[in-house]
Amino acid sequence: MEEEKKMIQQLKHAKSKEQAFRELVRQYKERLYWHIRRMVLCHEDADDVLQNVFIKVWNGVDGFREDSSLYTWLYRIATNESLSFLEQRKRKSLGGYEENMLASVEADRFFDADELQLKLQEAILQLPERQRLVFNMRYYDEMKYQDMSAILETSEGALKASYHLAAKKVVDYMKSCDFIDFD
Amino acid sequence: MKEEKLLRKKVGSDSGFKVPDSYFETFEDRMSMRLSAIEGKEKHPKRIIQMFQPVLALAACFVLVVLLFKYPAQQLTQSVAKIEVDQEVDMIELAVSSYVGDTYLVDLVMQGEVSLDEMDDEDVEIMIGEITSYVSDLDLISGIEVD
Repeated sequence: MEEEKKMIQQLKHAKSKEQAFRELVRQYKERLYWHIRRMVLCHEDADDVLQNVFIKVWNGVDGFREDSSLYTWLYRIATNESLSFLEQRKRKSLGGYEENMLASVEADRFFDADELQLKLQEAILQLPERQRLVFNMRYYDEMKYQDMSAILETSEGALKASYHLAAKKVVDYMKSCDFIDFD
Repeated sequence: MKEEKLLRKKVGSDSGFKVPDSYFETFEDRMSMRLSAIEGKEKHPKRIIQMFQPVLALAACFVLVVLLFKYPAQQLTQSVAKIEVDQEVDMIELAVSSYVGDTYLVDLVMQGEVSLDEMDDEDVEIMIGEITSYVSDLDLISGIEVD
């Protein structure tokens, strides 16, 4: 906590900003990348969004009010950037948005999944975006509901219900595909 | 939760997403480069152009004055008119023709009807005004803005 405060002060100070920012990027890049990647699916898109997130952090750190932790603030920016990106993609998308997303992830040379993993991504894509977000944060990142609550500004109870519902939908979808025996 | 357990058992927690080799190792450097580019873009180019605008305009004036004294104005306009025929030529001719029409005093000097020794300060100012106007026309054609 003390270290985080120190980092924030350094980030807000012109002389130490660059070095502190580099340290911040080093500490958070992987976690934020995977958080974004699971939402936007393609590596190139995830890379773009991640860079935009850090640019926003660079430009906005002076106004960071510190009423949440740095970790929460960064995840919030990453989440909003990912959702904005998906919204733009949806607007530009001709035809089925989910199909296009799935096709782009299958074509991504940095996606090396077996049939079951691909099917799971397909099932996750059927979920509404906020639910998809909750599912990914819990299932893949194994994030605590308390942290998720701070990032998504939603009550823990609502998040638990959302995750439960999402997991059920995913399993039902996979069962419906008769891809594997889930009973 | 039984659904989650089932998924973890059957599919696991690996999403299958990968990153290029050294992606994370080189990320800070790429990020720094991108930030420098953005900061540079925001701070410098406009300033450089603005900084050099008067110098460029002054240099153009100087070159023009030298040219005008070395070659008669009509010879200059003729040589300009001989440039290859394309859309730009029409624009240049238009500017040159307006120059000839609006530069009465320069014409007189070029034609030898008025000597520079006979000119007073006011005449010189008028002549500079005529030349500046001509440079602005040329700048308009070349796309450079002059204050």
